[in-house]
This record gives sequence, C-alpha cells and structure tokens, in this order.
Amino acid sequence: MRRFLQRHVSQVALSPSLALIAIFLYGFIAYTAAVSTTNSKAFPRFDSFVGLEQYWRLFHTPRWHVAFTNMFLFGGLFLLVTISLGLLIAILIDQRIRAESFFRSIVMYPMAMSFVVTGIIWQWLLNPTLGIEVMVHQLGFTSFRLDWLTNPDTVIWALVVAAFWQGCGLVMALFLAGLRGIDEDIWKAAAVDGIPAWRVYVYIVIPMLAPVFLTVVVLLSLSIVRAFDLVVALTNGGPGVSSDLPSVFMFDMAFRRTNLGLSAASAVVMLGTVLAILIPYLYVETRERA
Amino acid sequence: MFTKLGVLGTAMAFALTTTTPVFIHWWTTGGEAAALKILVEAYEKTGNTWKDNPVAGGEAARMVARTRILGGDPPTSMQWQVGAPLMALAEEGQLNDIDAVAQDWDKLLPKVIADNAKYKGKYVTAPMDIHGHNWLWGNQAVLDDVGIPMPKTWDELIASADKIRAKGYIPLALGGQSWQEIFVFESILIDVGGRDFLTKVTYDLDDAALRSPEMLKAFETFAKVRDLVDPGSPSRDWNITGGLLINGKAAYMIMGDWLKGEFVAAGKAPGKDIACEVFPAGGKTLVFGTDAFAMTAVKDPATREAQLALAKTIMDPVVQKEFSLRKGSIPPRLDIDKTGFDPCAQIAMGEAAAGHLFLVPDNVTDATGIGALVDQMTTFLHSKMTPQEGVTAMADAVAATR
Repeated sequence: MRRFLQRHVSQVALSPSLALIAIFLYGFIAYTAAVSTTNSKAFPRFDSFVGLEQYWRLFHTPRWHVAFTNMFLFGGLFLLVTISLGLLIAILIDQRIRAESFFRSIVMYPMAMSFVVTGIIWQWLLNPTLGIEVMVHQLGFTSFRLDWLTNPDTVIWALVVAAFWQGCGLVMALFLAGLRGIDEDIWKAAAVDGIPAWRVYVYIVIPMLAPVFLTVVVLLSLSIVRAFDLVVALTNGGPGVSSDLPSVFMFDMAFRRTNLGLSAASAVVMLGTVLAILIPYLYVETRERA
Repeated sequence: MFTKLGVLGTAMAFALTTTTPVFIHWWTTGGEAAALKILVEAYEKTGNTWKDNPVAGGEAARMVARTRILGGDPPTSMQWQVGAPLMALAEEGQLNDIDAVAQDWDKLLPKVIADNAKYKGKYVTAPMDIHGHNWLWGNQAVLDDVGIPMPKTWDELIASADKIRAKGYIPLALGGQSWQEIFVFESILIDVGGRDFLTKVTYDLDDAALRSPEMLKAFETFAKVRDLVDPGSPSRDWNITGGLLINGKAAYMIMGDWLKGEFVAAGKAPGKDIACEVFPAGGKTLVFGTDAFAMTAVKDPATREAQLALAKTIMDPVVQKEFSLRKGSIPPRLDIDKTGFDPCAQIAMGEAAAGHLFLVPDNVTDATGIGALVDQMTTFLHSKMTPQEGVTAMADAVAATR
C-alpha cells in the first residue's frame, strides 16, 4: 500500500479533480449533445429521439444565420482592430517613454470593468438621441451622424468598439511583455547596420513575436465565442435581431422559447466552432514541445 | 447550463426540501408591490403564513421556479402564465388541481381564461388580473394642438402622421424591441383581417394565412411604421419610450395598460390627459395576458391546504378589485362593479364582459413557432425589405419550425 502510494502519488492527488472534470465538463457536454438529438421543450426528455432534425431546423432558422455570421464578422473585425491597435500601443509604450506606467494604466483600466458596465457605457455614448452625436451637434456640427447602434448594417461596429475598448489592455500587456523579452543585441545590431526602426519591427521583431500572436488570437477567439453579456447590455440583439450572437441565440431558445433541443444543437455547433480554433493551436503547441 | 442546474438540483433536493409554503412571483416594483400586499394580507387572515420568494423579472422568476421543480423542491405556488406554459407543466405531472374551491369559477371567469386555467377539466391555477396589450394611447394636449381626434383605424393613424410631424411631434412613440413591436404588429393584423385572421396567423401559424393577400396588406401598413417613429427608437426601453408620450414629444403610443402606471406617476389622468382606445377600434379584440398562481404537485397535506387557501383568496371579490386598482389591471372575475376604476379600465372591463378577450399568442402557440414569427417581424421593421419579401421571409421561417 505504502509503496503503491509512493509510486502513484501524483495520480492519486489528481484523480478527484479529474473525476470532477470528467463529470461536470465532459459529462455535461455529452448530456447536451444527447439533448440536441431529442425534441425536448421545457424539460429534457429522452423519449423523443429525433436524430439530427434539430440541426436541420437550426440551419433553416434565419436568425441563427444572422447570429452565426455575426460571430465571424464581429470576431474578424474585433481580432483585426484589437491586435493591430494593441500592438501599436505596445510599441509606442515600449519607446522608453516618460510616465510609462501612467499610460499603461490608462490602457489597462477598462479591463477592470465588467462587460455589462462596458455595454451600458457605450450604449449611452452611441445613442443618437443622448450620446456623442448630440454632443457634436451642440458644438455646432449638425450634419454629424453616429447611428451605429440604431442601424442594423453598422451595429456590429458598435460591438467591436466596445469590445476593443475592453480587450485592448490585455493585448497591449501581452505584446509589451513580448517586446521586453526581445534581446537588446538585435536592436544594437540593427543600429550598426543602419536599418530604420520600422523595418526592424516589420521584418525582425514582429516575426519574433509569433508565439505571443498565437496566445492573443486564442484568448480573443474564445472571448468572441463566449461573448454574451456585452451584446445583452449593449444592444440586446437589436435592432431587430441584427446584432445577435450564437450565445444569445442559445440562451433565448433555452429560456425564453423553452426549446432545449434546438438550444442544445446550437450549443454543440458553438463547441464545434471552438474546437476548430483550438485543435490547430493544440497541434502546433504539442509539435513545438516535442 | 439549465440542464446542469437541474441535475445539480436533484442532488441537493433532500437538503433543501421544506414544508413551509413558499410563493415565487415577480411583482417587485411600486404598484405591483402595493397590489401584492393586498393579496398577502388577505391570505394571512386565513391563518396561513406567506413565505415570500420574489424574483425580479418574469423570465428569471420562471427559471427559478422551473429549476426548483426539476430539483424536487417545488415552491407551494408560483406566478405562471395560463395557457400553453401552464399545460406544459401540467403534462409533466407537476401541478395539483384546486377544484375543491373552484366549483363556481366557470360562471365567474371569462370563458377564455377558464379554458386556459384548466387541465383535463380541472383548475390548476387561480387568475389574479388581466392586462390588455393592444392599447393606443394619445397625448390629449398634442392631439388638441394638432387638431385631430384619436384615430379609429390604422389608415386614419397613418393619415394623421403628416399633420403631427408638421407641428414638430413624433407621430408614434415606439421602443424598438421585439416584445414591444409585436403589439403594433398584432393590432395591424386585427385591422386587416379581424379576430379570425389574428387567430389563423398567431395561433395556428397557418401557412396559407401567412402568405395571403391580407398578410401582404398588413406588411404594407407595417412598413409605414418605419416612418412614424423617431431615430432613437431601435432597442429603446418601453418606459423611456413612454416618457416621449407623457412629456408631449410624441402623439401616440401602442403599449399594454401597465403604461398607465408611468403616466399616473407623472400626474396624468388616464382617459383625460392621455386618451386611450383598444386599437383598432371596433376590432372586437383585446389581446391580453393574465397573471395567475399555479399550484405545484406537492403531497404534504398542510401545503395542500395552503394552496387551496391561496386559490380562494385570489378569487375573493374584494381582493380581486383592490388588487387591480393598485396594479392598473382589471379583475378576471366578471361580476366586479366598475366604480373606482379609471375610464380606460372600464373600457377593458366592457370588452371582457362582451367576450372580446384574446389570449396573448405567447401563451397559446408553440414558443418556437411564434418566436420565429416575432424574429422575422422585428427583422423586417429594422430593414429595408419590401412587404412581399417580408411576407415570404416570415412564412418560410415559421415553416422551418414545423
């Protein structure tokens, strides 16, 4: 017994948490997948097997198409804006500026806010009858229009702006850490060769930051798939259903429309999307380690 | 998440089970709380104690109730809608009947409420109030300034819009969220094809009706609503929107009668400062919702007694009247006299007595089907789709849920 414990102490110590994960994570994932093959309404029922019918229904629901497309649209724009501006800010802060921690704090501050608060702040700012638009009008520029929130074609930008405002700090911090990790000698060598700074960044430093990019992309991607509170607080899916996201759709189907089957199907599709992002990442990670 | 909570709940149920009667409801704001007090005081006079479990927001409250039921620790009674949501619970065997105290309810209640409060011929819930949805409210001062009467039909309403705009007012105050927009859409359906058409579209989700010429006409009218509202309309909350009407910025608003609470608080009298009309006038249809208390399938005899006492108290004529006076609703009992009620409530009581009540489709139709209709309705309003495209998109989306 004692010898067994000595030899397997790590396994024994890990097994409770493994068991919990197996039940509460994978168990419920399997449960949700099972529910998605039934015609469950308000309560899960397993006596109403319908195969893949809920998935057929899901992809014939116009609102799901809006939500699913929005996830990629919002995700793409959010990644692009946040990474490019986050990197730019990190580079600017990295120039050994005075009061660096002051600027760093300003950029990091929105991170302390919950998405609900962020959503409400931007809802007020972007509201055409009481926000920025009114303020600019009062300054005398009456032709100014900022109707992102009330225009179904541009509402996604409102989400991107709010999400960027919140997520920029984290991205900046990660890039800044990456930049600080770059060997001083590279800069010295480049200076000796007389290469301009922007070329050093584009051809040498940024390629060296590749692992940081990967981390940032994965972190942000997960927050895109999870995004729920931001939409609920900022637009509640409106105008119409134009700013719907899969997570909002899933919640609506489960709790407002009491259609657990359809809701579970959308959850499984969301999980599939996350895996599609995660598996290549894990593949690259494990290959690098090996 | 819901399913996880359910299983978790089952595991914890034994620890949580109590025998004290517990009541879940979502009446937490000013007028609602005052009304609830009437009920609680009357109930406690029967020698029972009311263990309050308020949850803000109807959806959240129903979620709590459902989770507790799943977890094997049902509340004694909970606020629940009549009709399909109630039947869903009853079919799961989650409700007790209260027929012991409901012998004469068939005579006292409007047929539509009685029918939807019963499962297999037995009452499983006690109705507390009636709220009408398709009300047109008009700011009398604005109407006088423009020099127009309250419109009777949608054509009249749209025709008056130019005059209202010329005087610098917003014709229609609308909060652009789907649950508010559906009141507008439903009143247009009544306007176009009457009660029968509303039934075919919202209850039966009938494909032929959804693609009919009447539907196209309804969408043509609905498309004009886009021009009746102000640019701030999308996603605006109903009470802020109500402020536009109450402060004389907008001429009309279509909203349920709970709006009365807002303008009474602002010192405006219903029927005088703010004119009211079941809209369209002469449509013989008042779309309504009912707050009712459903009785869960508890076995404990004491709790069972508490349920019967509650049902009896809810249907007490004095409680029904005093409750609705504070809540701004009307009593489900048809034999309550009208004195003390405001002119708008009196109109509603007349409609109820005349058999014009029409239970809100949410409580009748499959939630996924009617939900698809609502999604397409709101998508259309916030897009540049033509009426014909709107008709096709809605009919197709509803068909996909079958």
